[in-house]
Amino acid sequence: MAMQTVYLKEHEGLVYNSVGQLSSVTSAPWWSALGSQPVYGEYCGQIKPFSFEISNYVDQFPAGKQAVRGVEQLLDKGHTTTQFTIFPDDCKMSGDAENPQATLSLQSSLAEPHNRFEIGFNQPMICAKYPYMDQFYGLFSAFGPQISGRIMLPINLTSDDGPTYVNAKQYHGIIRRRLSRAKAVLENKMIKRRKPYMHESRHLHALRRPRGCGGRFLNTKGSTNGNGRNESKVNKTGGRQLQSSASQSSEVLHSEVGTLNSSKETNRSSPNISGSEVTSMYSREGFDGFSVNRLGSSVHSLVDMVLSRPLNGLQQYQVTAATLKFD
Amino acid sequence: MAGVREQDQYMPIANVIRIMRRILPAHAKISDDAKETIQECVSEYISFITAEANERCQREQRKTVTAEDVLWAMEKLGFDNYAHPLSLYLHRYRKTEGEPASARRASASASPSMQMHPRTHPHSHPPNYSHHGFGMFDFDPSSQGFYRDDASSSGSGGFVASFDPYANIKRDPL
Repeated sequence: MAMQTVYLKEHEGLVYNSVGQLSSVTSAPWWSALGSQPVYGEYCGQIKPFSFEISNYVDQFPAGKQAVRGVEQLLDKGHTTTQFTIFPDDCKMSGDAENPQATLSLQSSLAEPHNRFEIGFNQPMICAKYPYMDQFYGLFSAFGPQISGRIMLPINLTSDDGPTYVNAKQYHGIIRRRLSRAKAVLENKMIKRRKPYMHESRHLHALRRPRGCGGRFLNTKGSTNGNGRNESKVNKTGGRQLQSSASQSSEVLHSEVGTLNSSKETNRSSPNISGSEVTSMYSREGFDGFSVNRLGSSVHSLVDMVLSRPLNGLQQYQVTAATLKFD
Repeated sequence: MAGVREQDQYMPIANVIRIMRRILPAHAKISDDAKETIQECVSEYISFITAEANERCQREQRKTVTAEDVLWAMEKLGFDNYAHPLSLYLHRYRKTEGEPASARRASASASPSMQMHPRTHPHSHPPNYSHHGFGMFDFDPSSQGFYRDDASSSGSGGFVASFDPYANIKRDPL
């Protein structure tokens, strides 16, 4: 193991002296050579961006003390990044291997943790010292003129893209957010899959509601014609109708995400067209504020125009609002 | 219980869609993938800015994240084009809204208990906004229009969100 470690370190130094493309070409056979230990190979692969970060920090902090502080911060960050990386590797292994191979991989992972931790503890120090001058020299000759104001992020195993360069001001924030998200994943706080509805009771209530032709909810409320109709309201109704039509065509059945807006939840089991109509109508009235008189007059205008779809949507919106107040 | 997690993780998608529709013509269509992508982007952006502001509060041994901390975080992260208009907006907002400002101070003094754990602060921001979204049906037309108009910019939306859940909490026991 020690001999392999020494060999890997020297090889890594060579990789960083060459051009970026050559290093990417060289990395593949190096990783394939360690086919028996894929986790170990990937772990060593993580150290390269760490060293590259040191070079970036040397470039950013010309003063000696600041450079030392930057290196120390990077060392701490390297440890944290290493801890973050191990978890996805285990997930990958458990996902890909079969039952007996899974058992073997579990045994190997159990046997290796101490060695891996020791390597992780020793190797960043050695990498920080040994490739220091090489990275410093390589940075000025190869990368300095090309990239200005950008820092390369550590390679993310979840995404197979190449290195990503981000605004230098946002580098720390992005790293912090990555750690927070990883921590949330570990604590099972993150939701990988969206739920179609938010509250079970409202979902059951929607299931029990009677439905008419086409799956829309039936409405027992009747509407009567009223006076006081004018052109501006008719125009507004027309605009609302257009938006409802647009919402219909843009929606996909049972694919929209449920949110706290209970009007959408209530209509979740029915076609999503109803929910989107309610949402679009509500957003149309957003600036005017919610008023019963306005809604009533809109209903009258819609009845006069004798259009089935907007009428049903508006009535469902009215019923949904009443349901909300009741809850 | 699972619903609470989703509320903690993302902004309500109905409000996100409404903001998207405001800039689009009436006949525009938005695909479901676009809605979900924007929802994730705005949620991550809020956590990104808030984490930076919270780090400054931790460094200065403070427990309350203020509007100045948010503006400072935006400037530090390179969002200068946002920080400058929002500082003008904040100044004008505090001039015209004297009484809500005092109420906001009261709610700010009450919020330290919520912010005793700085780590969870970025995640506690979305449920505040979801409370506002839920309470939208209970407000009278004038106040509803008032809050809706303030939501014209994302920064001001954050300010209003910090105020509304306090009123909602009061309203629930009644």
